[in-house]
Amino acid sequence: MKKIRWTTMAVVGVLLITGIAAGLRLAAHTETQAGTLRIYQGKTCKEVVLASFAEEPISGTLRNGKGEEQQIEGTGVLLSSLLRDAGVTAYDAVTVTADDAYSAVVYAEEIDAGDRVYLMPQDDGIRLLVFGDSNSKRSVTDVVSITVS
Amino acid sequence: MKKYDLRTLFFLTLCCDLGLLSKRLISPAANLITDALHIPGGIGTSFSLMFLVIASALTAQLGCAALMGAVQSGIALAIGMVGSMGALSVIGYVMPGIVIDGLMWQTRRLGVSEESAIVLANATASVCASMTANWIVFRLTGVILLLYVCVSVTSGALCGMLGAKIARRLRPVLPVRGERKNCGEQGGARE
Repeated sequence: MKKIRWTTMAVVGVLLITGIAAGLRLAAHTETQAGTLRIYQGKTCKEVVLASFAEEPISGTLRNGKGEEQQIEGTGVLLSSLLRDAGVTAYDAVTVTADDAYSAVVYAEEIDAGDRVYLMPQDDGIRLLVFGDSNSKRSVTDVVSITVS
Repeated sequence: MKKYDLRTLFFLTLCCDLGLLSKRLISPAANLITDALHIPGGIGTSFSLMFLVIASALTAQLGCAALMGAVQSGIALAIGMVGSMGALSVIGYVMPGIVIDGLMWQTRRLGVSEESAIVLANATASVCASMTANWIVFRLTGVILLLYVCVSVTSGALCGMLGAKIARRLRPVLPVRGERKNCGEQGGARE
């Protein structure tokens, strides 16, 4: 009986700590409007609307870890154009982060390749597309921020 | 090393498969919670690990969970269920298994009740799985990492409580070697 109380109390304890951590996370979380991105560079933060950038036609194939291919057709914004138009000129790498904190790093040579890295508006938010990867794990959905480093 | 009999092997295989499939089954419900908390996961794995903990508790053999984790990683690689971890998902499957084995073995030696051992093993293995995923894929830091770990511990502990109940129900129908001395209905501690 004592052990049941101990186990239950321990579970209640971790639930409380989780509740506090959730409160801290939600308090620190910045809600982003649909189609909007925050660009962090050093200590500055700039909010941009994806629709305000020139869109280009996208056509390419993404391949997942199983080797399955997904044909992508539509319009989107080249990450290099977005960064240039947003006033970001010098960068080695860019970290693209989703609303759930999942992130992917895209390097300058990939961004500057021309037709490889896009941000595509979709119904469920902005999606990062990196063509040419053997595994599409950098295909981040619901992108909310870009951190330039 | 004690050998596994055929019935135990069937049971372990079933737990391996249930562990893999349950992750997929529970993920829509788990995503509702993780999306609301803005974290990339941490719940589905806890439920999946419950089956490894149950198997480890009922067979009471050192290395059982690690072996099952290795089998799961093999199946996952074969059917392409590797998620964002890719080939490194082997680590993500085996590491929690090793943790479960270590904890179940240690708690058995210390005479900890079965329920407490299962809850502890499930919660710790969930944290291990989450930290492995974080190390390989997510690279979370600060408050987000804290919440991610807390959610893993909580879901692991809750799944552990469920697992303890399932293990108690299954014990009469499964062969048990090295049964805990005082793991009666409510799982009392050794004197």
